[in-house]
Amino acid sequence: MDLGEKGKFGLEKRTVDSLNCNTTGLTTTEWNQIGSLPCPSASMVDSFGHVIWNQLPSNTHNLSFSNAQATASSSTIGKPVPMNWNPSDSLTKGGMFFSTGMGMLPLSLSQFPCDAGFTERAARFSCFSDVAYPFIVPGSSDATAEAQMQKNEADRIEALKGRSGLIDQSSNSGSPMKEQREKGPNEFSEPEFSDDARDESPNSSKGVFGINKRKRSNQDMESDQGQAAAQLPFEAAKDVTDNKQKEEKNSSTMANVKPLGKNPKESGEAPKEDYIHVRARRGQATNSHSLAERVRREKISERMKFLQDLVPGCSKVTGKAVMLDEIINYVQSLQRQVEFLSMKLAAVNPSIDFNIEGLLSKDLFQTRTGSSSVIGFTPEMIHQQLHPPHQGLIQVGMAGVMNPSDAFRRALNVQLASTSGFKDSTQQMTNAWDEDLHNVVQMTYGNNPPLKTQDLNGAPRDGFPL
Amino acid sequence: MQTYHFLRSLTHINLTRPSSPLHRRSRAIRRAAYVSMARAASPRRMWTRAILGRLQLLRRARLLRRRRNYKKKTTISTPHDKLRRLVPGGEEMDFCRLLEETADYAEFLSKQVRIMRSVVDFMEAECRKKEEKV
Repeated sequence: MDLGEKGKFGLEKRTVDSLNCNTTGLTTTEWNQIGSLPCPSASMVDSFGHVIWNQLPSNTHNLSFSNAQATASSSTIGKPVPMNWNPSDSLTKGGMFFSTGMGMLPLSLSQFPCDAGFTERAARFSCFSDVAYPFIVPGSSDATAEAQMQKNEADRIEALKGRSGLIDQSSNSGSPMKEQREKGPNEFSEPEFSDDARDESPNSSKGVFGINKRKRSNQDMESDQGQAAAQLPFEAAKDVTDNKQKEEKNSSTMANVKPLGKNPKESGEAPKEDYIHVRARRGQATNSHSLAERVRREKISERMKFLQDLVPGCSKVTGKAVMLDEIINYVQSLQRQVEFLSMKLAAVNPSIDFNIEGLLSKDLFQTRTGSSSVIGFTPEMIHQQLHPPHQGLIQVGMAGVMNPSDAFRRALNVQLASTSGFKDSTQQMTNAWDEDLHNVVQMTYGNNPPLKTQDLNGAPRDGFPL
Repeated sequence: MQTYHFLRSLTHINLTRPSSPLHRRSRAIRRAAYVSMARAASPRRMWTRAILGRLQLLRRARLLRRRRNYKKKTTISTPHDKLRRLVPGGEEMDFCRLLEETADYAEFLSKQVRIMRSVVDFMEAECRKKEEKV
C-alpha cells in the first residue's frame, strides 16, 4: 500500500509533467496533499490514468519501475486498458502507476464507484485542478489557455456537481457517455444545429453541462463556436463503444479548454489514427467527443482550404471568418452573373437564328459513343468558329482539365474555313470531328471522373458515380 | 454535359415562346441555367436535389395555380446563415457538409457562367455580323 501510494505520488507527479510538459519542483508539495488521499481516491488516479492512457507520450521516462509494477498488476486490472499502451513509451509510465493502482483496487472498479467515493474523488480532482493550474500558467504558451483555465475553474465545480449528480443517476458506464453526448446539444445556441438525434436529451444534468459548455463557448471565436456546434453532434453520433468513459469525462470537463483558433493546430499535430491515440494537451479535452470534434474541425479546415483554391484570389486570406465571407461573396457574384447573363440572353436571343438544336442532335447521332460531353464541346466549337482566337473558350467550356491541343486546333481550322451559318459548318465540323472524336471522347471521359472525385480532397465521400 | 443541357433548354425557350416578355424569358433562362447545372452535376448532391425539387414544385404550382413561395425568414443568426441561404438546399446541412456542397455548387456555377458568357458573346457576334451584312 505504501508502495502504491508512493507510486501514486510519483505517478501523479509525472502525470502533471507529461500533461504540462514542464517539470517543476512545485509538484511535490501539491502532491503531498493529494497523496494523503484515502484509498477510494485512488480511483481518482484511475481517472488520470485514463487521461494519460489517451495521451501519446510526450516525454521519455524510464519505465523500469513502472514496468515491474505494470506487469504485476496487469493481470489484475479490471478495467480495460487501452491497447495502444506501449510499455516502452514514456508517458505511459504514469499510466503504469495507474494500472498498479488499479490492480490494487478492488475489481469492482470496473463499475462506477459508489456515489460518495465518486464525489470525494471529484472534490479531490477539483483540488488537483486548482493545484494544477499554477503549473499550466508558466507552462502554457497560450495566455488564452490560461484565461480559459481560470474560467474553467468555475465551471469545473459545477461540472463536478453535475457529474456526481449524473453518477447518482446512472449505474452503467454507458450512461455517462450518453450524458456526455447530450452535453452536445447544450452547446448549440443556434437551433439550426440542434436537429435530429441531438434533440433527444432530456437529462436533468443537461443544464449543468450546458452551463459549462456555454461558458466555454463564450470564450471562443464565433467560428469555433459554429464549428464545435457542428462537430459536437457528430461526436454524439460516434463513440458509443469508446473505452474512454467517465474518467475522461471528468478530466476533460474540468480541464476542458475549448481550443482557440491556434490550439486546434497545435493539438492536431499529434498523429491521429484512432481515438485512443489522439494526444490531448493539458487543458485539452480528452474525451472521445472532443477528439471527434477535433477530427471534425480538421475536416472543416480541409474543406475550407479546398474552397480557398476554388475561389479565385483567396490564397492570401487566412482565417475562417474572412474566408467564409469571401466564399459568400463569390457565390453571390456568380449568382448575380447568372441572372445578368440570363437577362442578356433573353434580350439577344430572338434576333438570332438559333439552329443549335439541329446541330446538337446531329452530332448526338453521329458520335454514337454517348459522349454527351463531346456535345458540350460542339457548341464551343461553334463559337470558336466565330471567335478564332478564343481558344480559352474551349478550355473554359470543358472540364477545364482537358488539353485541347491538336484535336481542337484542327477543328478550329476547319471551322474557320467554313462559311458562316450553322448548317454548313455543321457538316464540315462533323467531318472534322469524326477523326478527332476518339481522342476527344477519351480525353473527356478521362477528365470527367477525376474532376468530380477531385472535388472532395480525400474526404470520405460517396464519390460521384461516373 | 452542362453546355448541352443548357443550350438545349435555351433553344427550347426560344422556340416555344419567342414573344413572351423579356423578364419572363430571362427568368426562364435563369431557371434553365440552374436546371442544366443540376442535371450535369451528380444527383447525390444536396443542391442538385434542391434545385430539381424546386423545379418540380414550380411546375406543379403552375399547373394548379400561380402560387408564391413564401420564404420563411430564419431567425437564426449564424455566421454560416448567409451561405446556407445562398446554396440551394443548404438549410438543413451541417457546416461540414455545407462547405462541400458550396464547393461543388460554386464549381458548377462558375462553369455555368462561362457557358452563358460564351453563348452571349457568340450571339452578339452573330448579331453584329447580321447587322454588318445588312
